[in-house]
Amino acid sequence: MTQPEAHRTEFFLRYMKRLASICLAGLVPALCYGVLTAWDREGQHERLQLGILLLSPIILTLGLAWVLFSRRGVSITNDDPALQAVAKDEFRRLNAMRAFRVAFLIVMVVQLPLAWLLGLRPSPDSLAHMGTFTWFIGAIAFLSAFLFFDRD
Amino acid sequence: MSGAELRTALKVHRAMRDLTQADLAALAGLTRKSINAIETGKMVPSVVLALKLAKVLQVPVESLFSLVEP
Repeated sequence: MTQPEAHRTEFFLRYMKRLASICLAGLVPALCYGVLTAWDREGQHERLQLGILLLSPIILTLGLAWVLFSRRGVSITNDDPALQAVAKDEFRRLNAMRAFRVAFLIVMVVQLPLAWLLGLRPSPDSLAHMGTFTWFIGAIAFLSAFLFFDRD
Repeated sequence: MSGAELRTALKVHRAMRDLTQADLAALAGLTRKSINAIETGKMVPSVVLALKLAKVLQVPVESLFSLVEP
């Protein structure tokens, strides 16, 4: 690998970090929307719900556009040595494993308060809400922990 | 052997060859962050990675990494 390719490795690291940040920024409003929908059955916060519902795709669209624009025409191919270096990097894999453990622990810990909170206002959809919240919390915890461990 | 810590001389050997972390990372096919993590003791490299670094720096792996008893 040559020196320009070392810079490409840094570029891929930044690129993937931006993608993860955008995904995280899109997941958080989606979770907030889910929380509002589960608790506000009378539609008291309809405008807020609509606002949050629109926020997630706007963040994702603008964020992804920004990430793609930041590539500035750099092509990404699977056999790129810099991309291979990033994909096989031990430190990143270690951070991903640590982030997975953190996310798993958080998902386990939130089950009891989540079940208790959803049990306060039981509905036929409570089980689906619990499953969806668990998925979102897990994904957000994983991405947050990964970005934290992988910080400079 | 429990409680033994890994001591690394990676930074010394890298400096002796006048290589930056990015240079060494490029030569070994990994990222600068990994080199930094190994040098600062945040990460214990795998055997494969240790051997790869030793090969790139052309030194025996024992001179790069050693165990320190507490």
